[in-house]
Amino acid sequence: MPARVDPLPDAGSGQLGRLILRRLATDRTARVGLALVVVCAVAALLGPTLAPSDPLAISTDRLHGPELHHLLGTDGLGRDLLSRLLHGARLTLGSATIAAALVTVIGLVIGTVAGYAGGLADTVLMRLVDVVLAIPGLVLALAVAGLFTPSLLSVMLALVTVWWAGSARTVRSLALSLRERPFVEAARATGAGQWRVVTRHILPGVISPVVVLATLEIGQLVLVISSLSFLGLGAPPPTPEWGAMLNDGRVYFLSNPHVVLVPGLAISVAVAGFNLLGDGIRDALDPRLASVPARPSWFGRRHRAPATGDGPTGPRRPDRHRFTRS
Amino acid sequence: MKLRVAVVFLVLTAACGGGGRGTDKAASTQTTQAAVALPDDQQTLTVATPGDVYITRDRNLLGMWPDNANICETLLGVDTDLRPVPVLATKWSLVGTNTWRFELRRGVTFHNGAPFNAEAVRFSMARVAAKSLALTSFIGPDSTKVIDDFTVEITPTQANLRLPEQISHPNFSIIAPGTDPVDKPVCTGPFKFGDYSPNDHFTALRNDAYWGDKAKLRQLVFRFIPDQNTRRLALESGQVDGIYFLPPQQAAAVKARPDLQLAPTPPGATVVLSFNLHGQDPNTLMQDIDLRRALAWSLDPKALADQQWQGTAQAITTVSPPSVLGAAASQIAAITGDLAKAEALLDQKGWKKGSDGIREKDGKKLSLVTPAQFDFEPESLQFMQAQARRAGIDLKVDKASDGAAYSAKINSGAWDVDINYWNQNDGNPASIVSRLWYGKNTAARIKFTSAGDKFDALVDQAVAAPDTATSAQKSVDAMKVLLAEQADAIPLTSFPQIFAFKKSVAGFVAHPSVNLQSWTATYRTK
Amino acid sequence: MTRYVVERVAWLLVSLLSVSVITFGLGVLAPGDPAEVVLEHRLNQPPPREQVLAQRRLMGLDRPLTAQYLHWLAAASHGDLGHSWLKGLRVSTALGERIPRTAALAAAAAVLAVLIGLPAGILAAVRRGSIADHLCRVGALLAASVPAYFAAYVLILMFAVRLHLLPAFGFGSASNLVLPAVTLALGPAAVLARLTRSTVLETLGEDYVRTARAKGAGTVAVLIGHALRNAMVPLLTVIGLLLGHLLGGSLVVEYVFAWPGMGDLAISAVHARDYPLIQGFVLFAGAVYVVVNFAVDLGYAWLDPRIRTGRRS
Repeated sequence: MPARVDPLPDAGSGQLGRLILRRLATDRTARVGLALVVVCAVAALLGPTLAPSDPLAISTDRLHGPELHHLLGTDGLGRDLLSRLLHGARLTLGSATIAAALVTVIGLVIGTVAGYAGGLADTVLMRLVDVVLAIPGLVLALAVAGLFTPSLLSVMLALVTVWWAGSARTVRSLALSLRERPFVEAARATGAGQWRVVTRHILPGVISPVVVLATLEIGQLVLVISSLSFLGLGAPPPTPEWGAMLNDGRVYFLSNPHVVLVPGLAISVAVAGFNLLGDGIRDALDPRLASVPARPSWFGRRHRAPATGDGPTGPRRPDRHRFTRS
Repeated sequence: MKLRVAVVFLVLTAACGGGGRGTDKAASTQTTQAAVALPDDQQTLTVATPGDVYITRDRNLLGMWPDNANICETLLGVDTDLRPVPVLATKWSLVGTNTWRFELRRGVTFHNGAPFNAEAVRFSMARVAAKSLALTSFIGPDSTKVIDDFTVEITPTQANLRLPEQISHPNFSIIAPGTDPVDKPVCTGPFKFGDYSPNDHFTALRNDAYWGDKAKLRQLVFRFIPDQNTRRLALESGQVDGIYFLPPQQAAAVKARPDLQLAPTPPGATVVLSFNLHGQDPNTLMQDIDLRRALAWSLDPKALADQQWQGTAQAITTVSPPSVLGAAASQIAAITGDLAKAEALLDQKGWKKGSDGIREKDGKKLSLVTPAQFDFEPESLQFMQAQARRAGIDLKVDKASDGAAYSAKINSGAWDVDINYWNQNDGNPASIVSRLWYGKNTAARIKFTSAGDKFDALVDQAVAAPDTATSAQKSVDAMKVLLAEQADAIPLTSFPQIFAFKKSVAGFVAHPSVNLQSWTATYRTK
Repeated sequence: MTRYVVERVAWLLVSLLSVSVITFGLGVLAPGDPAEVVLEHRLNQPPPREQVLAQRRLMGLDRPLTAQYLHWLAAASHGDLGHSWLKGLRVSTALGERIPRTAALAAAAAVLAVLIGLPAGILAAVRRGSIADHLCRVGALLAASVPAYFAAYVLILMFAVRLHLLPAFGFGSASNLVLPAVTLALGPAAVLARLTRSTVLETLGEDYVRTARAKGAGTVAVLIGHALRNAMVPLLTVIGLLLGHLLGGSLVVEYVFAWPGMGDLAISAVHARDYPLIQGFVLFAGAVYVVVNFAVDLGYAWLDPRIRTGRRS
């Protein structure tokens, strides 16, 4: 068996950082993406402090267009849209970030165990992954979200239940490739314990790329969280979650479009930022990955692991095949 | 040339005359007149209604309620002032203490050609009892007696002199004997059943053999569109000719358009909050009258009416529309609209505001499970939420996805406060009090809302009152117990339902009870 | 080839079983006692305890989970998915009525996605660096970043309300299909365009293609002869993926456009916690997804001789 195509180059974290920096220095779109992501991050971190007024306070100042007192105008209940947007940034982006973090942690544990241990553990865990991946993502998330009363927390739980499988699969492929590396084999040869090999050699190599990839998933999670809120399954009113804000504003869509445009554009900009940055960094990690829809986006599967083939010029096949008969 | 002018003149007069009939009734709510009617083969009117409401009652009221396609008729109707008027019965009178005699209209046939007679009434009323459609009329399986071919007597199972007012409700539709309206209603109305596609549309066709004034429309189509925004878009893009229930915030924008017109009903529905007075843990908070009072004071119906209903609604102090109660309505004082009182009461009772602005006591948050009817205007819900929140009360509003989901939630008892609007369907002043809190009503919700013996006794008197004015006074007395003494409910606003049509639709007169909306005079113009 | 097909069939069965386990599990985890819900619907009030116990026995809810699962699976394999709690309809009837509508929408969207995505991707690759390429990339970025419901409203505003070209909502005629199908196609079209672009670019860079071009073959001939043929394999990959988009996306799109399909039904079922109906939807969506991916796998084998002959590295 020829060397497996490593999904990532030698993934020491220092080298990874340098790669990403180099990418950002040369790729204009990646820089634009980074700038948008930074703006979103600032809004999420400082939003509630920056917000000029209470996002829930209603007033008689209804449906004002953007003006000095209300930079983004007010909604149908006279609430300041800028304040709602800034508070919502923390809710929407924050819950997406927490979901991404949980997904990564679960993925790391399950993926590393499966990839490094192999054998029965690998088979059982990967079957579990396949089970989850057998149903389209949003369909399953919707059904799981329905188990709870609508709230941001229930949406996050639903997402984690569905999304961990993709992450576990990516981690596993990374761990598999690392296991064969000379330095890991050397460590094993010198009698290092399993735990030591995993924590000292496998995890460090896996963590940084996985964390980077997970960060880039946040854009997709934002899209799904806001979709579920829009459908009334996420944040309940009057929470200023962005999708819920858009749902609230629909009545004024024709007469006062700014009420819908403000949250709609906010979601689009945030997602586009993560997408652009993601494209750039994926290219940096492996130029060969750039061409693969590593992020099929929307409601399909994410984390479709890098495509493989029988050689550099071989046809691409979905990773599913690679792992279903390991 | 002269001839042509004369023809145009004649057609115009005819059109004006046709519309003129409605003008005497309610000029303010009438759609445009005096235009030339489209030829008969183009007289199809498509109206978007809020969702397929027939499914939830096991289709027992297909085409009848709440979207009334005028396929079926009742013994008596209700005019726009909510007074009983003859329909299939021409005369009615009280014989004895609790028995009503109805003389039936002659020469009426059902859509299937069968004759309308006393047996048809007995058949229909037996079905009403069997299918639990009797509401609070107390019509039992054996209540209806055939006296002769065109006379029946109905004796409710307990004293009920409101029967003539109640039986105008579409639940009491007269159905051809031997037929089942679940698949196809066969009745006597100006329209007959066309076709029904669940969740998509319902079609009614003109009944050319109708006994009364024949419909001007050849075809009436209800399109089911649950989302209020989509409904309005459908009207603006010209896909439908009219829509039910335009959100009040959109009224001004629609009215401003040259091609559209509004047809609001007179205020005929009331927004009333009910409490779960007999819930089990954890839904026991509302058993505390101080909390009920505090929530009532925290809400401001006037602000709700002016701001969210754009002045089309009015703040009320009674649970029924004041118009149906007459002068007696003014005897009831407001229990709402004083935030300072709400705060003081809660402070005094030891409910302290937490860091999130919501009050708590003994580690329990003042957070209330609040189901709301599925087609309740969503922004108004947030408005009430924001008002209650100022007093530190958290209304966890859970808007149902459809009528069945709402009923299931209420019937389960897992709630604290209920937000719904209630139609005054008829001229019965005791209608709303007996539907919502009256212990003798067997509806499932009453188990959680019944307001006690004192209230029930007054409702009994209102139901058994010999005339409407006395009934109104007794109903108001019952409301005094319900509101001022016990704070078992919070009346907020009485509001119109707003129909919107293309300007080319004429002859539509909005009925205060949407359930009894007539479509016979409506037609399309060029 | 035979070994490959046998493997795939085995995998299909395992996947279908997985879907059924998850679907059954959802019903077990669902809040509320099904027996109580059924009775409550029947009696229109909370049922007494003894009656609930009797109903539980009747519905087999007192038996161990595995027995319940097998019983459920046996019924489900005959198309019996029980009754919707709230609407009283058979789940299979409710779904059966909706499936053709969603299928029509999904098929239209799939065709549109291919018609938009494939030419756009090829154009971008052939004219790499040109304005067309940049437009294609920006378009793909937008399509992947703008939420479907937001895009839907913008489309309605433009084409239905302002221009009066198309109906805003509803179901029935072909014109009703246009806006929802376009909205639903945006995401998959973006994925297809990106993928086509990169695959064609890569193939155009291959030695044998360069040789062909050096020998004087025109770009079009090269494209048709080599690049597109090679591009078919990854494109096939996307079809399975695309179906995931369509099934998920139909939820939002049907909701906004009042399209009375499965997504619309599923959302109201979730709001109403009507679990038999939700289970029916998940089971159906999952089964379709699995079966289509199975077909895609067979498609690979047909397209790629290396898989067919079992030559493995």
